[in-house]
Amino acid sequence: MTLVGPPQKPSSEALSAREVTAILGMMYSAPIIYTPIRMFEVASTSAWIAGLLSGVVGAGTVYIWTRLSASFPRQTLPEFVPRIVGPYVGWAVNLMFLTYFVYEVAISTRMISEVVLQVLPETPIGVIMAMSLVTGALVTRLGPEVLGRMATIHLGIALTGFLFMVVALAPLVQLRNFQPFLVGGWFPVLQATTPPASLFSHITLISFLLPLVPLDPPDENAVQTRFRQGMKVGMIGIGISWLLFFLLLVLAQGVFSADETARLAIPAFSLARAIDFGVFFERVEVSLLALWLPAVLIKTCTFLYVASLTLGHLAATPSYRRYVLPLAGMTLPAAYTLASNLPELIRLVNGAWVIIAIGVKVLLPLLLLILHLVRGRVSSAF
Amino acid sequence: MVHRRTDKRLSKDLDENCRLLESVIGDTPDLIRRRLRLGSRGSVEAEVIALAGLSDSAFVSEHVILPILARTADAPVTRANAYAYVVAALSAATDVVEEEFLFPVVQQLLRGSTVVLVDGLGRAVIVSTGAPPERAVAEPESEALVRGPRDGFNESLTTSVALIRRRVKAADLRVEELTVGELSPTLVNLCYLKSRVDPDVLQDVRERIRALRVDSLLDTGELAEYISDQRYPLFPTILLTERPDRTAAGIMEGKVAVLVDGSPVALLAPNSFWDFLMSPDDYYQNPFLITFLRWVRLVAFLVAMLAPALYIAGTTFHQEMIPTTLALRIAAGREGTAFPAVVEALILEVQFELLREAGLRIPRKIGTAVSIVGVLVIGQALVAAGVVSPIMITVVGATAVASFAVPIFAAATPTRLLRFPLMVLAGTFGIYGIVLGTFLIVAHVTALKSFGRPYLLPVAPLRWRDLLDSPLYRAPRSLESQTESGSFPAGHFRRRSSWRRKRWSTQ
Repeated sequence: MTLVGPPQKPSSEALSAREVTAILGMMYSAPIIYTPIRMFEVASTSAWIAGLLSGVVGAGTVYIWTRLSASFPRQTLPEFVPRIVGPYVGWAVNLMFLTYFVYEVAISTRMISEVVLQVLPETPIGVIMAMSLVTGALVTRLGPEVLGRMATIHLGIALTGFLFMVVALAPLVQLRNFQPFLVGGWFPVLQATTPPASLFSHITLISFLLPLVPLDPPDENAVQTRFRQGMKVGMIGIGISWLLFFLLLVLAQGVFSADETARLAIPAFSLARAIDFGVFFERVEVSLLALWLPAVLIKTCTFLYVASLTLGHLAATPSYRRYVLPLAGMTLPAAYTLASNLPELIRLVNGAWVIIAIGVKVLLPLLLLILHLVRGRVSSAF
Repeated sequence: MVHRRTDKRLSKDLDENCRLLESVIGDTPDLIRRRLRLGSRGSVEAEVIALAGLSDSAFVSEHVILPILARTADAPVTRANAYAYVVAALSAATDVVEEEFLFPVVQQLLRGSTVVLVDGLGRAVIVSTGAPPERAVAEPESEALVRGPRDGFNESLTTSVALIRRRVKAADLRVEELTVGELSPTLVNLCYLKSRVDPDVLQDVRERIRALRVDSLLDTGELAEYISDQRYPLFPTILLTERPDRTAAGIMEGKVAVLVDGSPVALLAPNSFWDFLMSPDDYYQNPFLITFLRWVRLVAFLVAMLAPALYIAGTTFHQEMIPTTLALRIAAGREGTAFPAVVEALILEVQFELLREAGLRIPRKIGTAVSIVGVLVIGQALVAAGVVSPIMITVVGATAVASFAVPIFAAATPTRLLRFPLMVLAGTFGIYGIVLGTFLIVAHVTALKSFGRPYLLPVAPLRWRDLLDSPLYRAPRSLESQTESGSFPAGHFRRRSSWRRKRWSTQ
């Protein structure tokens, strides 16, 4: 068995730093649907403080992943993991990452289907999931370059849409809904920062996308250059995700109050329903769907891409494309069996999944980083 | 049949050469052959051969036959010196070449040149006398402008190149000649500005044309499909235009223009999607008006593609997003309609496509009658019969009008084709279907390249500076110095001159 596969980056696939930023900016998409509910359940009126603090968690995650990825400036995650922990353990770790990525695709797909079901209640959920997976697979096969460019286009549209949402809902925000805060102390607030932590840990993607950004000129200080580049890209990308998430959180609390938001099925939808522009422009939740769906599809495609790339590496084959459709097919039953309905899904992604996500995307890379630094120190000492 | 690869050398025997030529061309009535006896004693024979219609008969008489006869009438012509006399007689002609092989001789003959074969001479003297039937320079019907030049290309390659040269007076304008077609070789000209063209793109265009192995080439559209980057062309990546000013502007930007003999259309490459939404008169009018019009065109493009699908999704699945009063009116209009909205839309769209196709072929004199029938069939009979609702006619009408607002006809093609699958998706999955369909379309367009350059440039990948003259904004000329190539004196079209300096092989 070959444990270290050939390089997985065809030369024609290159991304710009701006495109990587845009892809990371798309990561706001799935969590804005389910994360706020749990935050309001735990922290109640202090949820907005948890939202602010989650930005700090995000910045920490960006640092860990960027430091780790920049140590191997031209290699992706499945390529450098065996270099840190050895080929056999590396293979197992990569398999763990692969499983995680497949489930990330499954959760996004299921989330799409649950949201679409709100406007198409009679359509079988399996059909909705299959359609989004097939679409995602077809687009993923076009390569990360296409995903980066699509994210660039969509980010502008999404930011405009959010700006419109803020303007439209600002008159409905009531400041008393933000008080009192820190009633239960800091613990519930800190506890409430864990669900968004899984959102910001999507910075994992940087270890796949950053090596696609050409280093010009091919300098000797590639590690430092890549680190600076990664921090900039990661901070801005995750910053955009955080901003959009925080805006939604604040709007939901300001318009509906913390208690009411905790009881809503999909707060973002309820916010869109509350928009009323001169009687003519009302009930815009369908428009929100049109705005949100491309973002979550880009997120799905990106995770499908990294899953295929990891599988390609594990199978020691030069191209990831052949694995995209089979992986999408495998994801369908996973997405189907995740939960029986929306409340159960929300419980899952705000509960067990957060722990798994933090374990795989924060603690594991932290461990890898420490191992790498220790090994570096030891080898330099001898 | 003589072929480039099975070519034959001309012999020194005149009759043999004539037989050879006749065996290739055939005994055709439009082949003019004049046997001349040269010299005072008429001891050396020559034959003047041309094709009637393609060559100018008067020119052949005056500038080929007469000078040869006049020059050799009293001269001591022998087989040894006949060639020198003939060449001297033709020295007044502007374009005289010699060929030793049969294939180029036949090619020149088919292009209207006159071939002079002399006994004892193993080569042919060819005089350019081509004057094929030519249409006058006229305004292109499919690319009319409110303000701007009125001339358009015609089928003559020489005239078309002259129209470009008239506008691009740069000394480094280069015109390269290539030939395409195995059975019927057709002349193809590549025009570009040597100082501005991207050498990689030029080489790419050249190689793709040279690599063509086709029997014939009848139009530039045919060539565009052959050399396109796409295997399944849905969105146009090569711009076809009949306008010399658009072509000249493209050349000034660093693009390569390709002209095909016999076609009044020039091909420009590389292009972005946005080029198809721009019009030459964008640079002849107020920049703010043009910015507004560019937005209108973009909206028109989206309306042409998405309007029926959005209407179907709205009325079938998402009635809540339609304002109440309008929703009630639509419901009242649809009362008694036999089909669901998606079937209604498909019927009307197919009907419209039929009328459009028929309208192109119907003789003009009965065209009006057919239009009336079309309007009655669509406007009244279908509504009265309960096949479609009145609001659907409005939607399809708006779609039709929007599709004609796109400046380049080819750019409306994807909207026509993609409208139908989007309608089916909308009728089955509502807005979800439209989003999925649009997502796939955007992904496809994003993946496209035109001769190695991203199709959506400067929007994706984003180039802020190039957005100064983009589908969304046309900057006033006072801001032009902010574009990358500030040194270009011509002013307009300097916007994407940076393209030629950027390599897109890896990005």
